[in-house]
Amino acid sequence: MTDLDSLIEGRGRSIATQGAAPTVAAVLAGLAVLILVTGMLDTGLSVYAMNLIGQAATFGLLAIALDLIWGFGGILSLGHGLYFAIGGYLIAMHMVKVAFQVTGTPPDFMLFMGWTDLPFYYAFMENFFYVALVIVLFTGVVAFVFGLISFRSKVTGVYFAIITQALVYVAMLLFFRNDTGFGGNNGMTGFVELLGASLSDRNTVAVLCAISILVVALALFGLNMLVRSRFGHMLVAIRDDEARLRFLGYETIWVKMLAWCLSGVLAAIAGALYVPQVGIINPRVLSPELSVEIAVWVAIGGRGTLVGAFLGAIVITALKFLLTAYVPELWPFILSALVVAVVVFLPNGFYDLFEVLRRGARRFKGAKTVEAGE
Amino acid sequence: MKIHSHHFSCMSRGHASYLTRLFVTLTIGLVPLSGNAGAPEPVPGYERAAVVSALCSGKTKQMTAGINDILTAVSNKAEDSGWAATIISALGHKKLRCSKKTGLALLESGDAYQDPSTLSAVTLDGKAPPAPFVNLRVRANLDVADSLLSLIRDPVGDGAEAAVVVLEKQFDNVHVPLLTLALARITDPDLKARLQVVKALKSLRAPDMDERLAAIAAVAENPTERNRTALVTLRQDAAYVAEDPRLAKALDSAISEIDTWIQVGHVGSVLFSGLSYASILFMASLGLAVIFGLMGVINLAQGEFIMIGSYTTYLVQEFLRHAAPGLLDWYLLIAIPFAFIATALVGMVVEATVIRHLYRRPLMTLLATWAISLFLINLVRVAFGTQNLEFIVPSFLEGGTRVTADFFITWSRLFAIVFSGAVLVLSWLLLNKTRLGLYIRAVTENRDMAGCVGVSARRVDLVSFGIGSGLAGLAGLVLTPIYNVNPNMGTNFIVDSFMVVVLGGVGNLAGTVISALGIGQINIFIEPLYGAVAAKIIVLLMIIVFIQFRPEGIFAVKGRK
Amino acid sequence: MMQGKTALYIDGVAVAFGSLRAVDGLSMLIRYGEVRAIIGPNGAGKTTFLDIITGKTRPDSGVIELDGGIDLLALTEPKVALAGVGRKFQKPSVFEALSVEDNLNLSLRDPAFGMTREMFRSATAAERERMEHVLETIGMQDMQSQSAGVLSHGEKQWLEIGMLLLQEPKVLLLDEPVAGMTHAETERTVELVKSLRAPERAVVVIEHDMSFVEKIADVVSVLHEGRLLVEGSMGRVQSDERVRDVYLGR
Repeated sequence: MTDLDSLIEGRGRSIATQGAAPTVAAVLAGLAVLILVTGMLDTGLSVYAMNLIGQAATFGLLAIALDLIWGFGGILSLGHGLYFAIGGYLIAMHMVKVAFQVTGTPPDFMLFMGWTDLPFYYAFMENFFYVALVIVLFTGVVAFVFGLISFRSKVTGVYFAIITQALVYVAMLLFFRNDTGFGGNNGMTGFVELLGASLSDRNTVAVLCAISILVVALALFGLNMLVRSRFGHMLVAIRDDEARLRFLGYETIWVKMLAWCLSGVLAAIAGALYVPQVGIINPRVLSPELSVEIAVWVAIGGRGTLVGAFLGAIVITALKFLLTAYVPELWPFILSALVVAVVVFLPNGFYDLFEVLRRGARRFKGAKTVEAGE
Repeated sequence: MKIHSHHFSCMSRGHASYLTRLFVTLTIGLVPLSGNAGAPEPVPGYERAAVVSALCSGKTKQMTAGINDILTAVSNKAEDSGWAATIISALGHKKLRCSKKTGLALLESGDAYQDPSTLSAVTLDGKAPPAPFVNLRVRANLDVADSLLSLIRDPVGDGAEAAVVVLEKQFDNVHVPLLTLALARITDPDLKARLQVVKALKSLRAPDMDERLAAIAAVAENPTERNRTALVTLRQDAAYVAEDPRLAKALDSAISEIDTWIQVGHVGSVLFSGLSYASILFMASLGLAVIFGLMGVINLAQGEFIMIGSYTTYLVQEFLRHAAPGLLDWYLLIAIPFAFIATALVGMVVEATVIRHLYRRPLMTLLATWAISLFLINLVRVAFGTQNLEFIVPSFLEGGTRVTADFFITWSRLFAIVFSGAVLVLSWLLLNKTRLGLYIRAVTENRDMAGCVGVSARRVDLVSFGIGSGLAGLAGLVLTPIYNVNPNMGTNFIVDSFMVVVLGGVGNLAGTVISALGIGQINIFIEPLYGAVAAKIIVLLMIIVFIQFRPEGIFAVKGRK
Repeated sequence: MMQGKTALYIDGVAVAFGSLRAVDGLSMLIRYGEVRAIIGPNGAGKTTFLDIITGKTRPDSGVIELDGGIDLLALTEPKVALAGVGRKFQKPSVFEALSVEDNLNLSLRDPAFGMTREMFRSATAAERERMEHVLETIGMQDMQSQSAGVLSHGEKQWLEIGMLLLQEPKVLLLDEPVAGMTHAETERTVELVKSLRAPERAVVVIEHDMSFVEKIADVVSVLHEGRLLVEGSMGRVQSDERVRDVYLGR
């Protein structure tokens, strides 16, 4: 099997010695600092632009989270919106609780139901550290339970993907109900401040944007090390030939569980960063379509590279934003055409387009004779 | 036209004028006016003019009494039902004009005016007097009177059922003797039975206790929610129950009997609904299952193929509406080949252009078919708009039949069930008795081996994908009288279809049928109890638990995947 | 001293897939120190037999004991591997996305450690030494960082054998180790397998290549339709009428 062929085939796709991740991480970290500084100095990008970039960054994080288990673990989840939503709803609850403690009145959607007090699960939510802990632990538990049930019963591949779709669909239906204290189909909105800082203030926007980008940089850096560690090797081995790894004496389920829970928590963190910047959360984040879109970002950007997933999310989000502003009718058609084109012709996404061109050029120059494969 | 024999009992007072009136009526009766004019029997104290002035009074009590007098007269054959119908209808349509000052009463008929009692033409000087105000109470009585009279005059026509419905709703106001007369004249057994129930309901407050008990028993034989409510209301009325010791017990047993039947009807209703949903689900899932078993492709666009089937049916309807309106009523049947072929063609195009290149890459196919689904939804949205499409209900599918209590079998749902049964049989025949079916089974089990014996796997893929899509198209056709049709309709079925395939295993008819039935029934069963959300959750949880023990589904065919 | 003691005790093992009886009452005794070859026409049940030993397939009946005490049928695949059974699969099953070095690294599963520790540890000095030694044995010392995906077919097979060696299994199952190899590669494999013979190890080889079998096997078992047909030295087996019938067809 030639280098080129294995590249296109996808399976058995090598982890490059270092990859672009650390470089990109460094660049992003620098960008974060730049935005922070210019934001606070009242120069540089507008509040609007920073806010958008921050949101896009959280999508990038979400894509990276999916790439971890899909690109490296071979486990396609079409329901990652669930974890994103958990993080988002939890941070929203925090902001609602803080507002309640200041003003004494519950938010509108609770008033409509005649509630004068917040339900019991809002207890302690005004404490940010508690919320942060809950975000990580609760998501971890949910991911753990679902992962355990599924991996134990050896549900894999397409079946697994379908079940994750069904799960997020059901969660969406649940959250559409108006009596759960989460805002029902209108969701929660009207957030005023986070950690004492007004959400509309330029400094806050800059900080949030910078933090989002920084978290992405950290994730890229950290995950890059992780996938090159022994654990990462195990994960990739599971993707390519789980039976073989089991027959080396490894209980593969725990590797998958760790990757799955980590992926879920990262997605939740992305959600928690997203909601304060977008200012609203509603059950639409739980729509099956959005969860599939996450996979589309990763697929188009390039699975198994971390950077590819990030770029895929950024590019598609930017494209969607631009196109829906000028030709909103056209966007769905463009997206579907893009997905089909990439899936059929560029199985490893655009990231690989560069690789293919680069190696194709080298090959053309006769720099390497490649042995014929099986 | 019947001439009744005169009845000269205590009619001395109006004797002479009566004869005059008789003569006039007979003469006028030779000219066709509304309804038949038979010489009525004289009733003591009854006089048209008096009744008309009662109707003119504008006072509830008098008007009600007047109406009742008319009805009594008709039931005693002392009054002509045609006249009664005319005057009652006139009162209701504000065509009876009365002047309180002069006592003049006029019947407006078209542009001319008539004397209400004699129906002879009258010329009017000056403005017409106003019509008396009919309040709600009187209106109710009028409606009942109108219905009773129409039943008597035309027991077999189209209006008969409508009249019975009115009487069912207002059984309290029914004039019993006239009702008895109507019962005698009605020939349709169904309507007759319903009228007897009305009579029984009215008799619940009859003065005679035995009559009441008989009425309670009669009502119990018609177990509907409405009858139950009527009985329960009486049972909770302490004054009513106190009138006779037997009443309480009779009511209790009647109510519990109705309850049982209502339960049965309820269960039947749920089963039937579940069955009809399951049949649509089955057709949609069968295509999905075949395609998945064959090519390892889960077609996320299957919901959209259903939609294409529905929209094709719509197009056929519209085409017939303009080109061949005589055939419009049969559009649903005419559309069958079109829905199948159109959807199959779209499916085959998709397979040939996209799916084919994604052989052995199931996860990528998921994404590709998702993109296609997005494309199709928006294509249809741009072409047809987002509104629900309007379908006429074919005459042979209109309505239904009542099995018991509130359990109705609607013909459109029954059609869906029967149709999918036919599809099941045809699919079985195709898979097991035809060459194509043999190829499909061979390629499903061992693609490479099949290739070695000369079966072109690619061609089988193409045709199977077409058939699988076509089946979804048929599902779309058959659901048009039942569910909403709009560009997003596919999403309602797709999650359930997936679950059917996951649960039922792939490539196997039996598995698909059973799991479609199961999931369809559970959905419909749980939904009214706990809501649609809970239904989906429970189905999902059950499947997850089930998969623990059998990851391949119920009837997995040993094959490639 | 393990030599001569029973490594694998197999008794009356049978499994059926639907109506097909893949393995039909198979019994065998394999000792430490020996190289056993299992041959037979396609479909005789050889690979299924290995699947049962390693825990991939559950038999309908029978007993398989390792080392005279460990009931292999009660263990899951990872546990069977940890108990000391190593298997080389028919198709080269190396991890193509990883380098040669990483592949070998993954074979360093220490039974004493739980999964959590395994996921994050690095190779000890002793383990690294063993890795070096194995690399030399399979002749791939200078290819450590190379991605396993670009290796030739033969190289992949050797890498897999190298991975097995690192496992230091008590029982080594080789499923068609020279399938698809060139003549030169086959010769090298003969040397390799011969060097694998050890008093504390039992080697079971499934093969079709008779000249290869002749060179490496101590005992040959012939399988046919899931049952043991003939067992003995290569010479005895080759001269047996039944074997000839089975291979050439009736």
